[in-house]
Amino acid sequence: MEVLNHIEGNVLVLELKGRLDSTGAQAFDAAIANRLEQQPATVFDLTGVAYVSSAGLRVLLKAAKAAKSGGHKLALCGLLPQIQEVFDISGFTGLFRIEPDRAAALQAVS
Amino acid sequence: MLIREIDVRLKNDESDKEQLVPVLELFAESAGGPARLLFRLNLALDELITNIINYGYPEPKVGEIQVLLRRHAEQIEVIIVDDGVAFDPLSMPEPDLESDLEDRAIGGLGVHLVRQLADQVTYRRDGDHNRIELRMGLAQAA
Repeated sequence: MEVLNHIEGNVLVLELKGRLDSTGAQAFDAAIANRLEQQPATVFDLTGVAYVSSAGLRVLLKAAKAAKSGGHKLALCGLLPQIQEVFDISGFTGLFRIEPDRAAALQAVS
Repeated sequence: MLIREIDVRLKNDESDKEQLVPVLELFAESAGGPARLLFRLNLALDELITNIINYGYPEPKVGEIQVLLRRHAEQIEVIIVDDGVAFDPLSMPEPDLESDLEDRAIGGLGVHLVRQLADQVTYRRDGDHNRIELRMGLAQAA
């Protein structure tokens, strides 16, 4: 799992590349630790994620909870169809702001 | 080439599990079926084997997890046999899918995903082994 950081305006954009399995989820969790609170808004761009397991879902949920309790905005974008399917059957779709692409996600949190 | 059966033996170690990925790719490609078969197979096996590693071996022990993949005419059969302590993943409570973000419980989604992705999942204790069998249809609509 590779996590690329960009700052666009006042938004932290994290671009994930790789499998969000147990190993990938640990790397992702480590990459976002103490990172989200440094900006008022965050976008997770999942375009490069073709696989997610419950371990990855756990880290995403944890991040959403932290964002909400800290008053930060969070949006997701670039979910491939199989990732969206996992979100749907896990009841995750209603928990996140999900946008088709990065431009829409940036607009949603700005 | 049509692969009818693949038999893989893994140790009870997360890093060993990654060896399954290319095997599943080969098997799913040969089996044909819906485009998402590989994704569903990957996910179901990932979740089940992670549970076996985490719950089946409370004492340090090198265990063996056998994964048998079979292609039938209209479905894929997966049999997972391990030599860990008795553990029925299907007995785990259903996860919380409804609460608001603040109250949503973290965890318990793995087995839920398996139930949703497979057409049928069964567990039984077979002597001193655990045996999970699952089936996934090859129909395009699945």
